[in-house]
Amino acid sequence: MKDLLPLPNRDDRSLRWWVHESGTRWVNSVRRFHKELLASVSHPIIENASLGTITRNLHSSQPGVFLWEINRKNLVECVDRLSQTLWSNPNHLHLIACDRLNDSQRIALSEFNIACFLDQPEDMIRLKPIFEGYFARIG
Amino acid sequence: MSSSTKVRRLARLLEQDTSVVWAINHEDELVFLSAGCSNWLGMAGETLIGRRSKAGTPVSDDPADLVAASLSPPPGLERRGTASLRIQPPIVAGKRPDSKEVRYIRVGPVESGFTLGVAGTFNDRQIEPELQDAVAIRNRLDQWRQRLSGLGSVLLIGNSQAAERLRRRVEVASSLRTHVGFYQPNGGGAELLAMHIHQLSSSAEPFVQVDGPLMDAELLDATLMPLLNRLSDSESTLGTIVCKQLDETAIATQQRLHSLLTSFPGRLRLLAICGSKEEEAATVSKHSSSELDDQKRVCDELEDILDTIQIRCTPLATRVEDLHAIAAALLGRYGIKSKITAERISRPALDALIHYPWPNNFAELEEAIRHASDTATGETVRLEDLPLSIRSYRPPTPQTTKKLRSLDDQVRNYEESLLREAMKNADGNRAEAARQLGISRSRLLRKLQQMPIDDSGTKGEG
Repeated sequence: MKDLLPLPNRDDRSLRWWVHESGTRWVNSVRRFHKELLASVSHPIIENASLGTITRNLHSSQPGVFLWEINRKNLVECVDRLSQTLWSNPNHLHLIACDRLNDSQRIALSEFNIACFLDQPEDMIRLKPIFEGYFARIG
Repeated sequence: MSSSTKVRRLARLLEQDTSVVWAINHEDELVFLSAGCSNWLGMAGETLIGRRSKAGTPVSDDPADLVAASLSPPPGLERRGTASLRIQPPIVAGKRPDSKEVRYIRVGPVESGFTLGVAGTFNDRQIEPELQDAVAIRNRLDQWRQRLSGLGSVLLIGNSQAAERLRRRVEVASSLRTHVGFYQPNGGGAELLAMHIHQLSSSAEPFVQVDGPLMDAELLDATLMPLLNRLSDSESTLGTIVCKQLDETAIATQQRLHSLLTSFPGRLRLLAICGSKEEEAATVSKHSSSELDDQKRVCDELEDILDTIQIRCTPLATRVEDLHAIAAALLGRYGIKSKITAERISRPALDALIHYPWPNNFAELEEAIRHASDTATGETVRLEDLPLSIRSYRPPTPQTTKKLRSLDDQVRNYEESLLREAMKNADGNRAEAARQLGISRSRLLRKLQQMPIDDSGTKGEG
């Protein structure tokens, strides 16, 4: 019997996270939950990204997740960058960590292609189907 | 009837140089001017007392009359009771007084009351920071919507029958506020059309974009929660959900979506985007219905409501006659920053656009034009400005065209060849063949049963 053709190895996947936040709460949360969410990704690159870094990576073709920590103070600025990012590359996944946003502000943000809103780090567990769907889409 | 307190204390305050206050009686005559007011106007208060101060009435050339008239409240104060105005008094003795912000207050009934004018610096017109942010967000959302809606309108350009049909459907969908089902091939631009329709039909109402395949029922609830809260709070609130790839969304999520729509009948609208029905039909012919159920399906309840209006986007390759116009319109949008004008697509570049099969349809064309607009250095888009995949594409000659089989077919064939080989090696012993393949005997039997009978009339049993 002939040897079976090897199946493609999915363990070499990499994923870049751009986390825009003022502290390290969400970067730490991504580090904490990454393995549970994305067991198939062996090389996560988790970066605490300033708005400047995000702008520089607008056209990145790598699969990537943007996690925006948005509060009332940075809402307008983040919406600007968010729309710019979505316009440049609609294939990235966008998550929003809400810091005391009201319903109107959340509805406004929902008009953009946001995969999920997070209120607390433990909400990240809910993201598993989103990531599975995202990777199924990008192949 | 009770009497008022002594007016002396108030008079003392009014007499301060800093208070700029005046009063006009119900007959529109000035009856009081504070010292500060006289200083500001550069004219003695006594000169102005009794002069007419009513907007829109004829005034003599007398400077005192002109000054008195400049202090008049805006028309309609009787109705509103309060008004704001910036006043610039006329030049008096060669000196022009500063302009001042004034608040007018109507005191008492119209027939016997009076009007108080107070000049100063007021902060009540300053918008609260939160409101300011809301306005800024609203502006950005409008820009975002217009940008997408504008792109959606590009899809409607053209003289082909498909373009004409699409325009008519969009026109109907925009004139009604109802559920709409969009059926599109890959990258067909239905999301943009949905935005275009939303802008035309109900731009003021909020909408939420939902990426169907990424959602389970719980996530859907979490995503829609702010909108649902608002709908619950007010009976007059309307909302729209734009659900992408509804047919690839889990059935449980679809059913949850349907239950939400029925909870707010007529108020919550669904603009759902599905794969094209032609593609679906082709899939049906290849696979059994149960297989299809697992792949793409819209639940019956949602299918019913989406039947109201259906909009089908045809593949771009079938709209060859519209390609030039669509590409030019896109270039008009992206070429603004460069020197390219909408009409400047060179013939070789246009030929390449016409020859290319556009497997990813409008999304790919948009990307190509965006690329060309960024790359082009002159005033014209040349062939070399287009992405490599498009400019290097050569249509295959029909004789040599070999239709690729689907991945599923190829995998099935490969599996069958392995099964046959294993059966041959095991001299038809199924248990041994199963061992060699590392699967259970029952699984092997099941697979053998599914195999077609080969030329020798066997199923690979050697």
